[in-house]
Amino acid sequence: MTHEQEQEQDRDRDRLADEPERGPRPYVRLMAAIGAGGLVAATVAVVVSVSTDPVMQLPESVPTLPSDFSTGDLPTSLPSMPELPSDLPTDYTTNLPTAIPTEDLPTALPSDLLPSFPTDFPSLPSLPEMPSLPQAGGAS
Amino acid sequence: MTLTAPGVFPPPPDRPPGPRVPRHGMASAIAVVLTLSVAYAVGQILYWTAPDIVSPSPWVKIWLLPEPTPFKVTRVLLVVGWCVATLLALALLLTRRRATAATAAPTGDTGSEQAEPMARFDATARPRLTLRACQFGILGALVLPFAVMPLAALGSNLPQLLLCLPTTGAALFLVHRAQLYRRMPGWLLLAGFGWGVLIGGGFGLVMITWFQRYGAGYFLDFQRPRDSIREIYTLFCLNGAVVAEFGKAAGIAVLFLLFRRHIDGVVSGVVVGAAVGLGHNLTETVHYLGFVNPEHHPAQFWDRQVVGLMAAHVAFSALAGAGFGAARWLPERRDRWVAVGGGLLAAVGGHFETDVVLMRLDQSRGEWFSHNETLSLLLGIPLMTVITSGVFVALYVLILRRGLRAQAAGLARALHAEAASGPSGGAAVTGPEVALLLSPARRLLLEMRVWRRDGTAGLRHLVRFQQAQLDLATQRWHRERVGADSFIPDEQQLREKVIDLKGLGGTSGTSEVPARKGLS
Repeated sequence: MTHEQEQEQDRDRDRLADEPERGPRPYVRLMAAIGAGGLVAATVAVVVSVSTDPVMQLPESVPTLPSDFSTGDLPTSLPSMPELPSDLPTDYTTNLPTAIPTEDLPTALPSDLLPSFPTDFPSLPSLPEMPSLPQAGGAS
Repeated sequence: MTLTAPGVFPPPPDRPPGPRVPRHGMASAIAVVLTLSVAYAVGQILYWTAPDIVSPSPWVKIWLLPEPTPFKVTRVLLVVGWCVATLLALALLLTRRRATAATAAPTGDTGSEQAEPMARFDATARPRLTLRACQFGILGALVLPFAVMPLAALGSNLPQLLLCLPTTGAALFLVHRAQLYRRMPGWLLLAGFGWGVLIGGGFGLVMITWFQRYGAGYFLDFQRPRDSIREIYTLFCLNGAVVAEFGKAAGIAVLFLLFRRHIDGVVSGVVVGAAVGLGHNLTETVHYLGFVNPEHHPAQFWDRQVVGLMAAHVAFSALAGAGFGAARWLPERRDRWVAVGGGLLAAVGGHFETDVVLMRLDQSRGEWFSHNETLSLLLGIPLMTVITSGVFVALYVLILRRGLRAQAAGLARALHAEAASGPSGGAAVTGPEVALLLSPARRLLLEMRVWRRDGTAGLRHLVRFQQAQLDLATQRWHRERVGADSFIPDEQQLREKVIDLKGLGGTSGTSEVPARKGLS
């Protein structure tokens, strides 16, 4: 086989390897297949997700607020108020003084209100004299 | 060309301007981010109209948590953002109307015939800049408020963030290097990552918070509490999957619409999707580490930042990104929807299944390993990850491998054709360079040798040069496609860029490229 023939064979091989990008629609089928793979993956995710519990533990039931706070039907109108009596009683208070007293008020405290205190303290006993203490750490 | 011989690289010339590509898709990008706002507004309306929960049960407390402060701030900023976006939209309309009028109107007596086109250019250049500023301003005003919650989570958990950054950074580098041939610019990868961290993560957090606040009002039934709570948890997982994947896919869509020139197939789609997923995973990890019990931090880190780092979020977003990448070359609108929809469906379905099944499996993990905590951690979590998202990891690796094989074959053809296309073409890519460009392992070895010899500057120049060559071949390959679109840049500009980087351009004035002997 001549050198030219080998070169031609190499070029043919190149053309074959290059073929996916030489066609009129390169990679379209491959990308469509890859997209289908993504669809399959998403389906797997949905199936796994709805058939198993998530990592966090799920409650079986959740306490809710009392029914008064629910969004049930509200009353259409306010309840009617009971009728108030038209005449109030007049004898609520009795025997109250009718005027402030006018007598003179006291100006000083009574003299026997406070006890008498001693006017001096007894003297303390005298302490005994201590001998002189030696100097700390010696004389040096 | 002796790439490894001493002195082979001329001094790096000034970076030549990249080829200009028409940037359609801004309106579609704005429409995509508007859907995020619409989703938020739906959450708000559902919250307003949700029935009040009235029960003394402690179960209800988890649905009546106080509103988090970052969520309150997001709510305010979103309304502000809508106002700003409306004002900018009005300014955009006015500017466009004025620009149309200025283009249509005669320029008057300018003194010379040559001055007229210049005056017309001046009249349209400034409005174009204003239009562009307004468009990006609208995008920013609509999405930036979603960044508040992630920023609060990341800011209040800095130690956790610093802990996660090395693993996430390493994964992002790995994702970048998974582009064995032509790579998208690093800034685009970082933009995807940033979207995942701030916008995707923020949108997910906001919408999940909404569900927490209205879900129980609609679905909690005290007549059958067990079933209704099971339904709520199922819907909670489904809601989380939908909003998280939607938020991430919106970022992929915006980047795809704005930078279609770089996101040009399933490889770049998988890569940008993985970057968005990594960003989202970072936010989510830090957010969870912030409120779980600290004794669970090692398990969380092991799960989210080691074992599951390239699974779960990365896998789902990578599949969504593959759909966008595949849509690039589909001329039929229906086929584009099938490709994008297939990726999104896989992302949402996989996320939903992972959330539901992982929690159930985790309950039994201890029993599998006779309550040996170490074994349970080292073997149980990988096993659970394989069961839940292993299929999706395998799928995105399969697509990536298939895309890389097709890229190698297409590049081989294009590089051979470029090398054989005459003097000008042969200067951009020579025959011996083809084998090197088609071998990622040899290029990596060469990069390491150049880095040791010339340091970071030499390495950067080498990578930029080889990427320019691969970009030239990649666009040549794309031009042969059935669905070739108008976003493929001009071939001659790409070729000139390579020649300039090679030092063969007229401006650089460097010598001829050395012979092939040092290519290995």
